[in-house]
Amino acid sequence: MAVIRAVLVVAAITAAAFGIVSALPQPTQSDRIAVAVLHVLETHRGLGSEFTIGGRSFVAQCRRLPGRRSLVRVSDGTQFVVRGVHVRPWRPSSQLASVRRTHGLLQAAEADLFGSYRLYTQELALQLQSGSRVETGGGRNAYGLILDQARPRAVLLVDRATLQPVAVRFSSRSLSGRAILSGQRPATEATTC
Amino acid sequence: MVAQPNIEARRRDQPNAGDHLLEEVSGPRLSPRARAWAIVGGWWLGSRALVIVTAIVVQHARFPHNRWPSTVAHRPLGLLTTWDGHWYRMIAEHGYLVIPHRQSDTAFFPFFPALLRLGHAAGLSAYTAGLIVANLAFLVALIALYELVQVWMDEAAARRAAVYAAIFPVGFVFSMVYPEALVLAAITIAGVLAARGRWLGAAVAAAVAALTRPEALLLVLPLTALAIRAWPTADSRTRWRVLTAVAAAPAAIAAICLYDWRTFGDPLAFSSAQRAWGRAFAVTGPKHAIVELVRSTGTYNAWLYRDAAFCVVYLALLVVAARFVPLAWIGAAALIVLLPLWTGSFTSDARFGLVAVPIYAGLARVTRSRFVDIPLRICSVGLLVAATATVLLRWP
Repeated sequence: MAVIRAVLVVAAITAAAFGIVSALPQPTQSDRIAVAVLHVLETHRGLGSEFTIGGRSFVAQCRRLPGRRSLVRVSDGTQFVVRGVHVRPWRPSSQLASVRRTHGLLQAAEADLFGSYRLYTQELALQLQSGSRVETGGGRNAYGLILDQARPRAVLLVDRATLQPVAVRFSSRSLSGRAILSGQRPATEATTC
Repeated sequence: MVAQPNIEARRRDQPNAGDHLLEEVSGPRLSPRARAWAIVGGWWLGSRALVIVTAIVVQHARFPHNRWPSTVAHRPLGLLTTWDGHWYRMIAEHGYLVIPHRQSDTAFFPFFPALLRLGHAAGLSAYTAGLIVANLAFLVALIALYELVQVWMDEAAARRAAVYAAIFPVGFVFSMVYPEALVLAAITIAGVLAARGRWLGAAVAAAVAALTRPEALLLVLPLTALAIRAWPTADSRTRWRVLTAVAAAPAAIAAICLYDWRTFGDPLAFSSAQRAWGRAFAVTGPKHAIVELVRSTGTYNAWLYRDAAFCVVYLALLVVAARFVPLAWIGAAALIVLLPLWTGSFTSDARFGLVAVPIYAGLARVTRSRFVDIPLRICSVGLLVAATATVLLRWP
């Protein structure tokens, strides 16, 4: 009898404890989508993009470098090295440089439009870990994940069915841009970033 | 194993000047217990004032320079809300979320953030609620510690134990948005109530402790020892309560496992999340911990020596306390201090050991003489201030 009563009370304690944990906010649908997209970004790499910024169009191609870095070659001859959320010009060139001078273009904006999955991974993970949960908007065929709540704002559009990144929109007070991503490959391939 | 204090020991255990002052303030009409509580409360107030004033001064001076993120620098008492305080706020505001292969908030237990959420619902910010909960819980913890140590030792030693807990060098954590004060309160209350045969109260306190920090699972050891002792003379009404108290902490952890399994598909999500912090239990853990410690010499990671030093101090105090404190408590405390080493690092061991209750009994024992007691109190207060001032240099 003592054991049965103890079991019942312990079950009640377990239920109460479960109730306390469950009373905390639950992960939202957006949270779950963001985590699933993070998985796609971590297991794949981007090939590059076709992007428009400041009214000019460019093509960016990615190449993986040692040490978790990526090299981005832009069609005007510019090259950038991307590491984490940091972008460093490697070989500046005229056209993109002129855009930068004219509009005060942030390197972060360029990086967002290059199609680097590593960069999107970092931005999305930072967002989730900082407690600013990701908002998912978008249309009927895509989710739009806001990579940064503050201005400039970058939105990663992913396919609703496959969660594959398909496009990026970038907007700041003085400049806007967008990119169509060139597709993806498994994370092991060397020609991706 | 209960202390047998002799008259000589009692004579040596007379209160010191600070205690007399507090006794005068609290007045002569109070009962001995109320007077002792007032003295303990006075040390709580003084030590917390010291921590908070240090935090304010350091924040005002922006010390150490280039270490103040703008979000922390502009928040009142920002120093005391840093490090894990961020994670507890996130849980209180957004709940749990597993981010695979990265640091996730599931590593943190739910009771403390649940209280933060309650405070938030009452109109406080999560950080403010956390500071209030932690500091008030610490007052409760000190009083419960005083009562618990009295079960093992004489009254003066119990008072010293509570005083040393108040001014313990790593004790600045008890004023941060961390759950250590709450779990210390719950563990000591569970111990006191079980020792007095109030098993249902002990069960509730044990469950709260286990919902707050995983170390509280080790309460099973002392509660089982007390249960075995009480069992032969207990009637059937008492026996189910005894069993409940023993099973309460595992039941609370089981509830967390159930939640993690239902929500994230991983019943041990709280443990899995630790891997992103480089923590995973392994047989070779202690060896790796020592290797990491040795390699940290001359690097910024040399802060590990602080944790390793406290680990040694804790173990020494447990050896001293073993003469007075039941072995089940000593065993649980030793596991609290030593188990983290099996994850391959001394990191944060100084903080983990704060809830190993018998260390304070050990301190009370070694400070029987005033010649030891007074210098050690002065030294502890100085170290407490220094440790508070350097919070931003290394997480506790």
